[in-house]
Amino acid sequence: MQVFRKPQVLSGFGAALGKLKDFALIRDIDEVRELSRRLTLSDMPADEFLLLMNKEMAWITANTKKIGSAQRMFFLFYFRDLFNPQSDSYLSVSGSIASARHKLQSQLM
Amino acid sequence: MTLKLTIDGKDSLIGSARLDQSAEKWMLCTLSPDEPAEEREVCGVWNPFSFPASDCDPIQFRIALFTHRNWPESQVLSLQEGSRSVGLIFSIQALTSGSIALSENKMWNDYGFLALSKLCTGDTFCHVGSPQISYGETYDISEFYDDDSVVAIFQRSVCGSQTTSEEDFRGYLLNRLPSFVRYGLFLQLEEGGARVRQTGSFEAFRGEQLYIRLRAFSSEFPNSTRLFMIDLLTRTDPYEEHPAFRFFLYYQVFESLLQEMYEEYYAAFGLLAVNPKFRRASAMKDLVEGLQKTLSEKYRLAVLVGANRRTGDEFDSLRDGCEEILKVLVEEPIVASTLATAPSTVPTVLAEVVGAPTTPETPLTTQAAPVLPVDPQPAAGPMPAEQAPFAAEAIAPVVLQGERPTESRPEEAGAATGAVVDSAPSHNAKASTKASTEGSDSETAHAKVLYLARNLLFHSFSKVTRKGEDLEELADRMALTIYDLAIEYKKPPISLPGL
Repeated sequence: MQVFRKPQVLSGFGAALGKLKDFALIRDIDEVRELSRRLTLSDMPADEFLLLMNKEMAWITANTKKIGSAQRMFFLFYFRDLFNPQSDSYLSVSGSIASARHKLQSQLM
Repeated sequence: MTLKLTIDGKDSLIGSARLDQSAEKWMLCTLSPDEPAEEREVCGVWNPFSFPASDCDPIQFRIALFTHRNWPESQVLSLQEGSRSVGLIFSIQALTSGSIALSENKMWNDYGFLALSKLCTGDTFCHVGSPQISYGETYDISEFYDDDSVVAIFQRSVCGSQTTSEEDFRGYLLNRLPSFVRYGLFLQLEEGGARVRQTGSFEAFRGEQLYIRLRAFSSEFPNSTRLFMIDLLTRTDPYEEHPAFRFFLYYQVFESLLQEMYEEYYAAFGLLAVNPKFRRASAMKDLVEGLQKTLSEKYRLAVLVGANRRTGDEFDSLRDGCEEILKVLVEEPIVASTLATAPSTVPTVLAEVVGAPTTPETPLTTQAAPVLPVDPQPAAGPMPAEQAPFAAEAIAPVVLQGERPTESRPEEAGAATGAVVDSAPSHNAKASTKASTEGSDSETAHAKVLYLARNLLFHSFSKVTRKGEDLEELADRMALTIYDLAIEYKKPPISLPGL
């Protein structure tokens, strides 16, 4: 899980929390701590989740003009979907990957 | 060029850049006009590269800047001239502190180091801006150049061991512009990338592509056309958003080549005309007829296409694009409505296009507005039968505007020789029919469809300008065809037919 220690992930996480708070979808950071205990892989094996995440990172590396910015944007979308109760992939760490990718592609392409 | 930084509202020219002791950043120093010996560090630029192990003298390298709208940060390609590697090309983002695109490869690291050191002082003939900075801060180099900048670094020896000037390098690069523009790389000559158009599809890089092969304009490509094309590729095409205008701009390359041919045909005529055997009136008449034939634009276009179709598919994509756009444009009702009002030469040209065997020899201009008389019989002419119906429709607006195609040259020639020259479309109809017997049917067909598309677009310009999306692909195909033509150009044989 080295990927989640990278600065791009942390800045994306921070920006996502800010948005969620702005839209009153979370009360505060403590609520996120509570929510993180309920995160699921949605029946996806852990190694498959990691492969999927690596695949997304590889796509970003191969296709974007600014890799760091694109990674930040990806994780912003990822965490917004993950902690947004109105999202289809709410609390699904694997399901949020696909929706974050689609949003990133629509921004970049 | 020299990098100019604006500090507290004042411009400062950067005279030098030196690596600090930690090798983490380049310190940029200003030139002081009052005290040239005194340099002052004004800001830093992050250096993500290790010091080159090999002997890398920055003087031995040169930098060019291009604009590309979607160059991935991770994409690094070699620049090849023949089988020799002459440099490297990569995004400006690859020179920034967070990037590992170059630093993980030893050779690329050295190229990156050199490129960064030169860009810190603006050591390039390309456009260099004048960004605002704060004194003492450290920046990424991408903050001094456009985000969409792509850096090409070349070995200086690429333009010959004797040449040392930046001007020589500029000439070298301009002579290879089609190799870059075909991939969407526009040279930053007088300005940065801000105005460069967002539209247009270019040749895509293949997944496994490792290099860009640089090829100069063909040595047979006329110099005047080459200069026009350089101007087009640096000053017009990068900023022209509308595909119809781009199509016409690129068509001017054909026009320029055709003009060159015109002059050569005329010169050939001049040489033959003084031959005693043409003192007889009937012989001279044949000679003048031969000249008329060769001077028609369609004839010359067919000869040009024929001389430059080696593998056979050089103009296929452009022909297909023209056919598609003809089909799209003639389906527009407003165009069709014009068909019924204007004097027409439809029967002549139509018959030519569909290859009808009975091309009318007389009245070439009719007052009645015919309802596109498509020959129901399968045509034996140059155009494939399945294309004939729509091509027949397509031809109508080309000639129904009551205008002649922009072809004054045959008349001028006629005036010069005292010959009577028909109006261009009708004359061309006859000449081109015979011309097809000299070139292959397919090359004549290619030339005809291109000619038709050009005429249709030209004569329906106000309508065409509203059909931008349909034209986008055609303009891109035209551009790619022209790039290939410029590189592979083979001068067509110039001879007056039947003599």
